[in-house]
Amino acid sequence: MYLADKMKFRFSATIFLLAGFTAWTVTAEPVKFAEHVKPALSRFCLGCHNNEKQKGDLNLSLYVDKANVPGDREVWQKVAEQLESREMPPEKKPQPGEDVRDMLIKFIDGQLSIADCTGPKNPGRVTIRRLNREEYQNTIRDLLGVEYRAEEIPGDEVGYGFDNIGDVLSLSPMLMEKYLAAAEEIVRQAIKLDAEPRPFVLQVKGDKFLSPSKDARPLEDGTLGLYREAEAGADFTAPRRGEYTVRIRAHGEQAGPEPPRMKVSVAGRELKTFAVPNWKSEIFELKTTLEAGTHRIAVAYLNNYSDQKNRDSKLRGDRNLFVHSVELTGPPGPTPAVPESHKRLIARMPQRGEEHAVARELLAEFSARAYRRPVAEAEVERLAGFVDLAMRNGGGFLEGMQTAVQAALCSPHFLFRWELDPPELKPGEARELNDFEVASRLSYFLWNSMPDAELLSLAGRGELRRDGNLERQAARMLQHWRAHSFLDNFVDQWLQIRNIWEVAIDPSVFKKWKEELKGMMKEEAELFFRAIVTEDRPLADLLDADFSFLNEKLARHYGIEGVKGGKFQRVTFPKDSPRGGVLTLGAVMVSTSTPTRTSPVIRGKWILQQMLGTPPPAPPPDVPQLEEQNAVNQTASLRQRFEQHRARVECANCHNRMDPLGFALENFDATGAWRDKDGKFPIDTIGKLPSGVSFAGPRDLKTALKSGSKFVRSFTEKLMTYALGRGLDYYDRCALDEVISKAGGNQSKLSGLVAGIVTSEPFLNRKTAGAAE
Amino acid sequence: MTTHPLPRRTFLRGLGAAVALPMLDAMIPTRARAAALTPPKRMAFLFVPNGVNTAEWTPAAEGADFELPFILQPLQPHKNEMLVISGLAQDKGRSNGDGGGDHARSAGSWLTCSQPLKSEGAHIRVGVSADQIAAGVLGRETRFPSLELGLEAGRSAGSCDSGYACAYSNNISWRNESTPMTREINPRLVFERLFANELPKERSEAQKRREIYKKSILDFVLEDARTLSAKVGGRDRQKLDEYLTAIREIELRVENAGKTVAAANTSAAAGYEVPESIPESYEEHARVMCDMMVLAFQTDTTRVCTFMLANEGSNRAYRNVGVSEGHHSLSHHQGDKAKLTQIRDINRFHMQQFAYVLDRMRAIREGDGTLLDHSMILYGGGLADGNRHEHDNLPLLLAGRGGGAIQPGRHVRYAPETPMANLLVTMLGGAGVKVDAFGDSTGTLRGL
Repeated sequence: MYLADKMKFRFSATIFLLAGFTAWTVTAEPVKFAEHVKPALSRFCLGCHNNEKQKGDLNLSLYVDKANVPGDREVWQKVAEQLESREMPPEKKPQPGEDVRDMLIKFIDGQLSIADCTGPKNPGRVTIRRLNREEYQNTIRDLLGVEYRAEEIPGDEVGYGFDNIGDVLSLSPMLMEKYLAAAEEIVRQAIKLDAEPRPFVLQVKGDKFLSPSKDARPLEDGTLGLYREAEAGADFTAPRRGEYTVRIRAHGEQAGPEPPRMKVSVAGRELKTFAVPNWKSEIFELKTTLEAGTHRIAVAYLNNYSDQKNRDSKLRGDRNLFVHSVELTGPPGPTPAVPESHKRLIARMPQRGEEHAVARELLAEFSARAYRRPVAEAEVERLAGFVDLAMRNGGGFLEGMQTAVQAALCSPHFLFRWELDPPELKPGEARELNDFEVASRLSYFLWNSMPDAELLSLAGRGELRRDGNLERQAARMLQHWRAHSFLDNFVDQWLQIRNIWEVAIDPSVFKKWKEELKGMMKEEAELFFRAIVTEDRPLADLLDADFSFLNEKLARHYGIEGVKGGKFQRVTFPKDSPRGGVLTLGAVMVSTSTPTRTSPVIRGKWILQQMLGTPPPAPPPDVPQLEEQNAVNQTASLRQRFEQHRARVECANCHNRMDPLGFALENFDATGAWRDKDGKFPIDTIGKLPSGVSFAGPRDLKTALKSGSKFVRSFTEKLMTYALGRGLDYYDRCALDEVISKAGGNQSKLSGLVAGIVTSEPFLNRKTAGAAE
Repeated sequence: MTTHPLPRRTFLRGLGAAVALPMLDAMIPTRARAAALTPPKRMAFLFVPNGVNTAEWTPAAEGADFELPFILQPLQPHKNEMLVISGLAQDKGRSNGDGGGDHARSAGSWLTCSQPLKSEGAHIRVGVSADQIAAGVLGRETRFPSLELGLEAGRSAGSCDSGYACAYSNNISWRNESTPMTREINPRLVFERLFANELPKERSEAQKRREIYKKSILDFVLEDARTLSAKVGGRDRQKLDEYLTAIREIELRVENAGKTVAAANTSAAAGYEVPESIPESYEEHARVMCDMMVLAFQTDTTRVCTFMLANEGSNRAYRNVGVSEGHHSLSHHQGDKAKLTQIRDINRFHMQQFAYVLDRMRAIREGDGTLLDHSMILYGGGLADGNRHEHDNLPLLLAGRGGGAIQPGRHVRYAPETPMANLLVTMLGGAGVKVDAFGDSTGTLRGL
């Protein structure tokens, strides 16, 4: 059933409701079913959901002395959701107080999040993933050496905050069309049809041969007729020095005691005299060495004979010579320059007759890389069939290879990352992934691309999972330039700064704003994240670091002196600077603002969701969002108006958590620039959390976030989501805990988390399709 | 050589010289011309997000004698060619126990009339949409069963609406219950997809071979997919089915290419400039996209089209009409007059784009009427007032006569909670697509 997704939602909501953000506290008195839960259920729920009356097919009377939450996940899931969204109890029925409602939700969530980490583990099951746009581009680059910008391929849908989630990577007919077109374009770049040196061939028809003599006559059928002794010639240009072959196609009208004799001269040198005894045209061939340049090739008829009156009928007749054409063939030209992709794909050209065999050889190598696994003979044979097809239709070997590669690039074996379960497994049974599947998981996690030779060769030898190879490979990959694709994509999506393009900053409000700053801000974020990873710094530095990367324009926007030029450079902030770390990045500040002003609610929600992994529940369907208006020209400051609204009890629960976090960043305006006042009101960044901790401004906020365990935990959750290509489920909690503790808890570095993830149960295993799916 | 009764190029109004499009009668395929006595029926569905300013949308009077309120005024020239439909509800857009996420549900349910499964990714599921049901029948005759257009790429990070994958907010057309039909937002790519590859050309030997290869590649990958299909289960199979469906559809198009495209169609397109990529101005973008839709209908390249003027929940700032706050933020107006005025202005601006479509379609003669006469164009959204996410009394307009299926020129009001699905069933029936029930439909609508 469709449970997994909701579990995730509840899992997060629980943590949110359980505590503020500084510590993972649990209510002092443990909630007990019989003592606390059962009476509340009886009072507010059992009226409609009992043994006799089961509204919505729900019977809560079944739970007499314990809730059996893990056993009846779906039921309790729904109960908690309805309570939280205030759809239940219905408006007209008695309502529980906030404390009771909270207590029930917490109890259910607490029970739901229990995962048994001792027994056999459930590695989960990721739906096969289509290569997303970024992965497709990178894979084409690494597979073929072709830089293909997949701009015509539509962007990918996002699930769980990332664009590499198997379930939402769908494939519409339009997208498939784009893949077909892309493959055609790519193979044209990858394999050049004019890659072979062109042999020199020059043919001149007989009737183009000139002669001063009237006895050599061009005829209507294109031949040259020689009716008496005469010579005719034509100019041939040899492109280069070398041995040339002259082929003369000729026939004779036979008469008299001997056949016609044909003398061939090249550049005035008599080379050979042929007898032409044939009535039908045949080829007469000679070889000669020529210098580059123009040479006259001449044919002469030497022995005319004409005797129409001879009594001997055998000697009666007229002998003539006919030259159909003269062809000069020479040494092939130099090999045209071909791209690296071509050299790699076409490691050798076949001799005539061995095209199929060579195609098989080349395609075996190619398809194993394209499909990222060993390929069967039959698969290669089918691909080689395209070379046969091309040759049958008059295309060459290379055209056939183009087509074969094109077909492979459109095949589901290439476009999807398959993890095929052996048929002998029972539904729902877990299995170890094979080495090739693991190689792809690694490479698409850390490079957004296909495995390289080293990974495939380890997999081929069956050594990828042995002797610490996984950790070693992950470390190597993380420091490779290909990892930039992963780091940039991950940080863009984790911080949600791709949304920066959607915020249309109002130039009439922000007169100094320039749209070009958006791209720079995004680059700053990416460079900062890369630095944290390549310098192997603790994750906490992501929240609080004393450096960033700026160019002159961006530095000026931030009000930072001394940065010159358009190039990004590392800038160290002074000790008392409020900047540093992801919270105050311009890209984040803009992405969490509206076109005309900041939104403490969006920023607060962003911190809860992206930094702490404790998103607030959605507002109930019929409660409108808190009113936020431009504070300028208002009689109360934004903050004062917020506090008024938080007085409403159904809003306060969540907004007490969100808003103070957002207000801590109020000194950063909607463009990420510093300000001391909002309109006429001074900025007030002092806040207090439900847990009682007070703070003022970004410095305190960073310190508070760093001190808890949630930041690392939430970051790891997101990293695992990205690595696995699916949302995390309650059973992933075991692996998550293990990854974090192995990486050093709050001291974790990205390298440690990656090492933990790539050796974790869900990364290396997979459950087969269950019967329920 | 055919002679062209009209100039070969016609420039788009308001677009300057950069974009020139084939808009000529000559582009109508000869086959369609031959059948001009009974021109085919077309269906389009134009979606606008975030609800509307209902007070300025709904006419006070019902029947044929009604005044167009402020938002609808751009449609004055078309008042007799459209219906204002009030009273319909989309119950599947409501929470129904799923909590927040009204925007995602608004778009997700609009043409599916099914409850979107609340999920950020796993098992996304809603229902096949009405346009795709139409495409299954009307689309058999044309090269493209349907066309999906949009103007916004959609959020590329985070979730779009609480707990719902972005696929719900960004798509109104669903091929089947789990596969949204990806929208094309780049007009150049739309044009190239529809026409560029079909431009008549002296086909060289090499090109003929390419066509042989293309067919053979399709066979090849289809066999790959079939072989795999024996080995996969669960949702993997669903993904593979998407692949199989896509390949089969393309294969069919390749096979039918000669049959469905008459030479006259593409020869007229040969001399035209391809539209530029996404124009900077939203208005230009919208207009070129409208042209693409009309062109696709006019050339009978497709008969079914969905077009999202913006994605649900879009927070676009419509500065061209003096609105710099984001649309979604504004939609939670809480009765604020200034905000309601801005919403009204956005609604009216969208309506001008719709009026442009109707102008264009009316200008195209077809048989004994116009393209508009042979079409049914539904315009509207899945939310009434955005402030409280109302899913009833939806703002809906139905333009065109559907070849006689519709008697336009009225404001019709249905009983509260009449399912919008009933309208879609009625529209499908009017287009000759027989469906007894669809989504949460309870029957058909009388008096359209």
